[in-house]
Amino acid sequence: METAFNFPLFPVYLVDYLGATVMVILAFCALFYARRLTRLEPKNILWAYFFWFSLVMVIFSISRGVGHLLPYVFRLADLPELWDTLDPYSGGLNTIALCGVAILTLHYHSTAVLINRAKIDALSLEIANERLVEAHADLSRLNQTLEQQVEERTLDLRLSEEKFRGFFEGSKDMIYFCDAAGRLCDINESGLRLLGVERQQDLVGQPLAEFFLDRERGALYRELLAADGQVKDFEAEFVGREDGPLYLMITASAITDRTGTTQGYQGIAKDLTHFKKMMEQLVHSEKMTSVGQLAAGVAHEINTPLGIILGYAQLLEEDFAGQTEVHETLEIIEKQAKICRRIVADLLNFSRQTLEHNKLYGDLNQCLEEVLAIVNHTLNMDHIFIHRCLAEKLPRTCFDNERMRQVFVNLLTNAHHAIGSEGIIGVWTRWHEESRQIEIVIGDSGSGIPPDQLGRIFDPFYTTKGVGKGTGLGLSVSFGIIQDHNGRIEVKSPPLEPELVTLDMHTTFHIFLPIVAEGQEKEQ
Amino acid sequence: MARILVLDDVLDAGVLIQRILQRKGHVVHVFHDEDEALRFTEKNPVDLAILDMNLPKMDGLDVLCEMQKALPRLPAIMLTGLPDAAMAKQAFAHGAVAYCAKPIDKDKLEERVAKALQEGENLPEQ
Repeated sequence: METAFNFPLFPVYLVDYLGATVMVILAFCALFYARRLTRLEPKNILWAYFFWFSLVMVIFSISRGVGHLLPYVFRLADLPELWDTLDPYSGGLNTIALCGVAILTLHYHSTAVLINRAKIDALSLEIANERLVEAHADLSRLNQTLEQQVEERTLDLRLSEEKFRGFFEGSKDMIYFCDAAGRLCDINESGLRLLGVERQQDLVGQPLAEFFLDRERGALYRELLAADGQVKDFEAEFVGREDGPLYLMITASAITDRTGTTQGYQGIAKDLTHFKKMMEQLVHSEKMTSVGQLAAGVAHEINTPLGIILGYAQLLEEDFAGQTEVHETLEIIEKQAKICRRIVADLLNFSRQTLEHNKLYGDLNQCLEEVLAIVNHTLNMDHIFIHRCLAEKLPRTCFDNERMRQVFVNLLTNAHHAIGSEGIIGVWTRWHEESRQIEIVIGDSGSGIPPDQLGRIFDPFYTTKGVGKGTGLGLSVSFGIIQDHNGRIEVKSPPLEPELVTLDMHTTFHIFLPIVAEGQEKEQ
Repeated sequence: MARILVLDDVLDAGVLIQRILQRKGHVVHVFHDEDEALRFTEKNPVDLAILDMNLPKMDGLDVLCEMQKALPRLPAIMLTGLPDAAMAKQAFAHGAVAYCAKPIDKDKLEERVAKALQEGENLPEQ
């Protein structure tokens, strides 16, 4: 072994020596950097691998360096046998270190694969998560929009409902809904008022057709509605409030579902009672005026020749006083001429009703009492009892006493004729403070007036009395007189007022006169 | 006996009044034309005029006024087919003693004439 330590081999030893040292230093440097890298990114597996790799390389470099350096040191110290003892350890350590590197490298590969897979998993998980978050955001956005939309729609619906509810309740016309069988399910306030019912519950479930005054008309309404799905401006009279039937104009339509099956009916009924009454009055007053003019013309023309016939008949009666038969004939001519004269006088009276004014401030009760006193006797003879109910505090008003008496006489005479014998004539006076009107009611327990005649009784020359018993002018004249007092006269046959019904009144005439204060009559 | 003038556009009506009053002994002059009647009163005195209110040419009251120019305070009975309170007042203001609706009854006419003549006699003479 001494020959091995030859001087010419010195550079080789030097390189070996220096190389081992440099290797140790470089290994430490690598460890240092690898450590710093692991510090920077502790989770990076590559850096961890480098760290462990450098560490093992440090061990290996030291072990190898020692294995190369110590033999020289021991040889120089002349203890070569000591190295021989250590040499196998050094070789073993080197092998272990290299094995460690190999294991580490192998292990790194599989770890890297695992970690990579884990990373991919994590990434896909992250992506999924992100998508989930996005989806959640979308969902919550959608949810919010939906909520907002629902809120908006609810508001719209509420406004619409309010609008239609307001229209329904506020309408002055009757608005109603019926089920498929034609029974009422809903009706507005105006409808309740018109039909004279207080609570809706009392109406719900009742067939609308039952409110028709004329059942046939009700059936026609249903037929038309069923056939065409609608009716337009259908005129009908309804059983209504206390003061007579309602005159309605109905426009209705069927409510159908998608299949076209009728679910029910909806309709609007316009109350034309007042309008119709006004129209009737207008027509009547027009009629009265034209008839009045005609009557006046005819009466005036007939008057003179009639007077001449009457006068000559009277003269001849004197001439033939001795001849019974001729005298009797002339008497008949005179009598009939006088009847004609009365009719002509009535006609003139009727047509001239607005010409003369003799209205004075007075008490209508007193006027009525005076007339009753006159007719009382005749009525008693026929066993007709007079029921009086005169208002105690009836205000005084301006009226033409003579002509108002004529009205009362006409009405009482008619009542008498309607009864014939045995019955009751009712006389009421009432004061309506809210409308400032006096109402005079004259009723009788007679036969009543058939509905088809009701509209004609005020017409001039309309009479149901026999020839020679009435001219048919009494009510026309009365109508004119009342109109001249700015009042109105109405007939009810039969009346619906309980007070009148209990007294068995079958026909009642109602005169309404406005109060005219003293001194105001001139302005009228 | 009195002199009575009757003016009515319908002659038959005038003649009727004439016949009725003649039987009571009066002298009755009948006219159906206003001008003829006026010409008559200008020359002949009459005690009473019975005048129709509605004449074709003139108003009955105007005729009365014209007649009263020649015969002041001439009493008159006015006859009308259309009685009217306002016209009645005017008639009385013009010196009419009666305002009657046509056709007038025989008895009523006789009574009114008698009454009118009586009142006329009671009037102080001019």
